[in-house]
Amino acid sequence: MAGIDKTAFRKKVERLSNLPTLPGLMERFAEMIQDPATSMAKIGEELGKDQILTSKLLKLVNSAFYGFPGRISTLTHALVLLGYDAVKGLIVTSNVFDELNPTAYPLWRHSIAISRAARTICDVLKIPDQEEITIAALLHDIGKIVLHIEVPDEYLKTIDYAVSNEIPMWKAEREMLGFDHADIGLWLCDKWHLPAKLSKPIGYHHKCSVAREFQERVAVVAAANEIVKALGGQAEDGVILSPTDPTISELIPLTKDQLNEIADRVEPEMEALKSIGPKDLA
Amino acid sequence: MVKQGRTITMTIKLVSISDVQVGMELAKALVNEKGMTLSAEGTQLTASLISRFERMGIEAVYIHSQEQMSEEDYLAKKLHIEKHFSKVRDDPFFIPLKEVILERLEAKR
Repeated sequence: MAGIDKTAFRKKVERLSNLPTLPGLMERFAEMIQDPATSMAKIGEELGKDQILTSKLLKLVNSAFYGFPGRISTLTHALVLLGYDAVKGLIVTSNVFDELNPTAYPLWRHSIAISRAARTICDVLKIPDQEEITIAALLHDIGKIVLHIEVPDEYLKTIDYAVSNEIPMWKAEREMLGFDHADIGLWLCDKWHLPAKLSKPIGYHHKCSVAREFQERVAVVAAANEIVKALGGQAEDGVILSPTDPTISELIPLTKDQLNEIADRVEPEMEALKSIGPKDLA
Repeated sequence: MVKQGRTITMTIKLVSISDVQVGMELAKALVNEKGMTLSAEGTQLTASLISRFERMGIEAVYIHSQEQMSEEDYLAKKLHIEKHFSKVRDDPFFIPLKEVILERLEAKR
C-alpha cells in the first residue's frame, strides 16, 4: 500500500482542526513563562480565564485514575505544585483524549496504565521528577491519537497489518505510512512548544539509545510501556511484544520483586479502566 | 486448596463508585487530602457510606474481590502469554517479566 505524503501530512497535523484552542493557548503560555516579571499567580489567573480549560484540567489532576497527589483547587496551585512543564503537558492531555473515537479507547486506557507504571518505576528506583515523567507517559502515544483522528481508516488497516505480520506498531506505521507515531509526537511537541523533558520520551520511546537528552526519562516511559503491554494493556488488541532497545534494561534494571510491585499497582487500575472511556472522566 | 480445578483467590480491584455494592470490603484505607483516614482498610461498605463517598466526589475505591479461575481459563491465559512473548524469548527485558507474569497467573490458580 502506498504511504501518505509526509510533508502534506505534517502540515495537516500542524493545523489539527480538532484541537482549535490549543496552539494559541500554548503560545500565550510560552510567552508568559519567558517573561520573568510574570508571576505564577498571574499566569494561573490568565489561564484561568478559560473556564473550559480550567475545569477540564482540574478534573484531570484530581481524578483518582490519574493518580496526582491530593486535591488541587486552582490553576495557580497546580503550577506551584507541579511546575510549568507539567502543567503544559496537562493542558495537552486534558484536550487530546476527548476527541477519541470509542475504537481508540484501548489507547487511552493504555496511556493511563503507563503513566501509573512510570510513576511506580520512579518510586521503586528513586528517580526524581515523577510528575513530569507521569505526564510524559500519559502523552507518549499522542501521535497515535492524531492518526486515529486524522486518518482513521488507514490507521485501522495499519493495526491489522501489524497484527497479521506480528510486527510492532511503529514498524507497521513506517511501512504503511512512511513515518511513525513518535515522529508525529515530535512534530506536535515542536508546534506546541513542549519542553525536551516531555518531547524526548514522546519522540524516542521506541529508540531510547539515540535520545541524546533525558535518556533516563525516555527509558522509564519505554520500560513502563513494555510492562503494561506485557500485562495485556496494549493500545491495539492483538499486537504482540517485540524486542526492546537494550538501553532500557541498562538504565532501568528492574528485579522480579520490583516488577511484581509494579504489576500490583497497575493491574487493579487496568481492570477498573476496562469498562470506561475518557468521557467518563473528562 | 484445589477442588476439581476451581480455586478462589483474593485480589484487589479498583472499582468505580457507581459500580460498588453494599457488602464489598475496602482493600485500602480511604484517606483525604490532609492525610486523615476516612474509612479504614477492611471496612464493609454500606449504602450510606457509598452515598457519602459519592457526595465527597470520590470516583473509585479499592476493594477486595474473590475471583474464580477455571482450569480452562488458566490454560487459555497461559497459551495467550506464550503467544504474546513468542518474539521476545531472548530479550533481557522480557525474560524476568515473563517469569513474573507466569508466577502471578500460577498464584491465581
